[in-house]
Amino acid sequence: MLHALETGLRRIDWVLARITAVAVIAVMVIIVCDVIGRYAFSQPIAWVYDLVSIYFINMILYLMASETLRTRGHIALDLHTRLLPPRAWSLLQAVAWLAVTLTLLLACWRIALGTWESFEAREVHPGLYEWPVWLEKGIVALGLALLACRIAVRLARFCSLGGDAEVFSADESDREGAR
Amino acid sequence: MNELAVLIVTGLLCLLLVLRVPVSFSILVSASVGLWMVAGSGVLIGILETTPVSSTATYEFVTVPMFLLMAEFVIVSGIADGIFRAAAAWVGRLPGGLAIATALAGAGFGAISGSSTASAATLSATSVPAMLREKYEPRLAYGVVAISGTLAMLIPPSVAMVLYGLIADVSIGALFVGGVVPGLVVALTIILTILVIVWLDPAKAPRIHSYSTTERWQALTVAGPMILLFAGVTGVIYSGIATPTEASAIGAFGAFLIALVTGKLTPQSAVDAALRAGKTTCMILMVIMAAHVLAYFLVLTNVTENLIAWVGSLGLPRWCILLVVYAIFLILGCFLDLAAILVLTIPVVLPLMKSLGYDPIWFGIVVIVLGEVGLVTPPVGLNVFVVARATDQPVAEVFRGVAPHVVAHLFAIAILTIFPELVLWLPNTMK
Amino acid sequence: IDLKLADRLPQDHYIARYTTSYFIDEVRKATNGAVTIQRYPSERLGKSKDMLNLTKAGVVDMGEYVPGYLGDQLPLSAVAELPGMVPTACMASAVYQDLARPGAFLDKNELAPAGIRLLYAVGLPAYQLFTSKKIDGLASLKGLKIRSTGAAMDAGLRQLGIVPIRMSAAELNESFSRGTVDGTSFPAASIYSYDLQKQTRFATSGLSFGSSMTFYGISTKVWAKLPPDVQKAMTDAGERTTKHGCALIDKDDKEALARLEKDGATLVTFSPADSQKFADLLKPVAEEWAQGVDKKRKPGSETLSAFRAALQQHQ
Ligand code: NA
Ligand code: NA
Repeated sequence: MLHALETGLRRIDWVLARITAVAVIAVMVIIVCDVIGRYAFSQPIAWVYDLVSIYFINMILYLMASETLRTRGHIALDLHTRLLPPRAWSLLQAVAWLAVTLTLLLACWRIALGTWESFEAREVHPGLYEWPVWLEKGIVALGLALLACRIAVRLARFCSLGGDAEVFSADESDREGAR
Repeated sequence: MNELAVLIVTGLLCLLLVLRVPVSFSILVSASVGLWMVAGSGVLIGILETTPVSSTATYEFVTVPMFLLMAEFVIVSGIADGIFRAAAAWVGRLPGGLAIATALAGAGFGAISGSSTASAATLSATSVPAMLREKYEPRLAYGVVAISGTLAMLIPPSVAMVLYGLIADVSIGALFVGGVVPGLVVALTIILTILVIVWLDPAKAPRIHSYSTTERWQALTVAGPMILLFAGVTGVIYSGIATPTEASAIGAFGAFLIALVTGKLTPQSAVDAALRAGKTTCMILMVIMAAHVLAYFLVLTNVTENLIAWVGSLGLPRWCILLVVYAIFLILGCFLDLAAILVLTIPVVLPLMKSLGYDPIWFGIVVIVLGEVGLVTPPVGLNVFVVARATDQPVAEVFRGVAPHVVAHLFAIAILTIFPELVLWLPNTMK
Repeated sequence: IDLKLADRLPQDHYIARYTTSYFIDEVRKATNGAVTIQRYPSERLGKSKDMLNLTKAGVVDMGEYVPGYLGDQLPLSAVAELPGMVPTACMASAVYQDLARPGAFLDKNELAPAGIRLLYAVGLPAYQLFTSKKIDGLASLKGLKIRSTGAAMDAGLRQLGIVPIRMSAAELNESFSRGTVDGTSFPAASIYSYDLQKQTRFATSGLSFGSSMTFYGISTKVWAKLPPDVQKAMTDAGERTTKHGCALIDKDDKEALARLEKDGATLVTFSPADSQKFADLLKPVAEEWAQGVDKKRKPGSETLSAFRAALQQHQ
């Protein structure tokens, strides 16, 4: 059951991270075209500014967040300090990660509500192109939800392994490689 | 109540960091607890509802993924390795020659990439094996690689300068130009430090064979694409073709083309490069997002204002206040990422510095050099982590190796403080 | 009573000195120090686009609301930013205040439902064009690359054949001097606050490329808890601030234009024929805006005619 969850999450993250990576390359090309269009033909691409500032930056930040956590990409203090006996310390680590999950879920829940409200109200960013607001918030909500799920699954794995706090700081891609 | 909350947040932040929770999440959780204490759940929810969506949703932030992508494509193209080989061919025979070549390669890679971590990672992969093969002391090798990587954020183009420019509302172009001379000063500092280390104990860096003249000139073939890329990025900015923000995408595209021409770029390696750039961007932006939540706490509790007011009330002379500010940055640098430090401190510290008559461009450059130090000081030293990971060494070993460079950097900062013209001369002549 | 006021202007920005600092002082004086307002400048207590949500959540008590940033959250208030709409800061502020005063049309349709109450309005004079390239009439505008600040202005500039370009204020100075953009659309006084006078060779006068209207308000929840005498003191201080601020802003605008001319820039006045054509070209922008808002089942056309009627009255 837990294993299936892990696999499912990994697949979702794999797809989202690759979509975002392709988007990074696409945005690079689009900005170059915008500059060439403006400089050479006085024809800039009017939607680049909004597309990047409304959706793209948050897409990298949130749709890659879980994958980045999986591969230990979020900078952490990697010193093996222990101020308490091992079991107590591991438990404390689990509590800390539980607090992270709850904070992320709180933000996720509110933003998901906001997504729904913006969708119901057909809220848009006014302008030549009317960019929907629900998509902007939805990206954030989805990313935070996946991130919270990944940590929750790790907490479950922590319990199933009888309190091995390594699950929180391991690079899962290493383990998968070894398997 | 406020004082208690500040104490609890600080304690909680330290505890979470020690518990190996990533920096961004540690900041997020401790700031949330603090906000809940001083302002209640309504305010906390309001902030958690808005900050994640809007704190980084700014066009200029696209420079972060673009400069990182540029670095990744440069690595794919093989130019990054070429820079080190060329430097080694020319200075390899000097005492500590390969270490000096590493510093030069760090500066060279820095000139065509905006990312310190990418620089440290690629230097670890090329120069560390070369130095170990020639029986260099491993600790010396790791230290040089970790510190040379930091040059990428001082020598333009630089993600750190873009962040500072956005937060301090100063010209990013002027910062880029202002970083050139200090970048050379710091590179020179690193080289002098190496020479001193080797002079004290020649056994740490055995002399190596000489390169032939043909080898030297052959190695220089790497210079062409490198200069093209550097001139491309700075050129589009100064000719008015593009803004610094757009120049980041043009730089990435230039590196993409070079990787394409060298024949090393495949669809797979392109996506992988973007994936790595994306992940690092995600890490940096996550820290910035969390720092914005913490900024709410600091603003609502007036912590920073009180701190600055307190420093001001001491009636210290100008240079003393500057030293206190430096100390604060160094201490923060031990724990936090430069991006977080900039978000948290610049809005408050910069007005103080301006009121004391310091130039915001000069201050930005000094802050970035202080940030370089933060990248290699324990407990949180991103470049050290990168080198330790890439070379499969214990973190503590790399920290020990980089220690002499930290001391030397303080001298470099002193020089930049005593002679601010080193920073300001070039931007002023460009006007 | 301590209240938190958040805005996006820097601590010592001229508009903040003319309006918000004045308002805070007036309220303090009128209540004998019983009410103190702490100002958080430079978006230190939240981004402008989050201001309504932050007010609802109680993070801030009073805020600066920028219709251009809040988009669909305050669509009707954006009427004052349409090109060709308002001539001076005082006209913009007075008309907006009339329409958004508690109980009036905009208050009923927009502010009250959003949970805020108007304190004072800060209109700006009609934006002019400031360029490094020569302009002498309508035809010379075609193809110019001009930095624009928002959707409403974009639409107006496009109508005139201008290429609107979006960029942050931080990059404007450099882009202007290096020719990435040919100019910007601004109130004249901002040319000096952004240090753009050296690059500015030509400036229009007497036209309107749009404007910017922001207003300061207070959360209705916070308002309801204030004692009646404080409410009265704030209402009065707000009315005074609107008048006091706009007069100074208009004065600055005139002086800045004169100063630009003295510094060597050419002030360009369109011929009557060009001015008429200019107005005709921009006319559909307002109508399209109103229809767009109508489509979202909000009274756009009604707002437009109410605003125009109020302008007539003030003239
Ligand atoms: Na660089
Ligand atoms: Na550090």
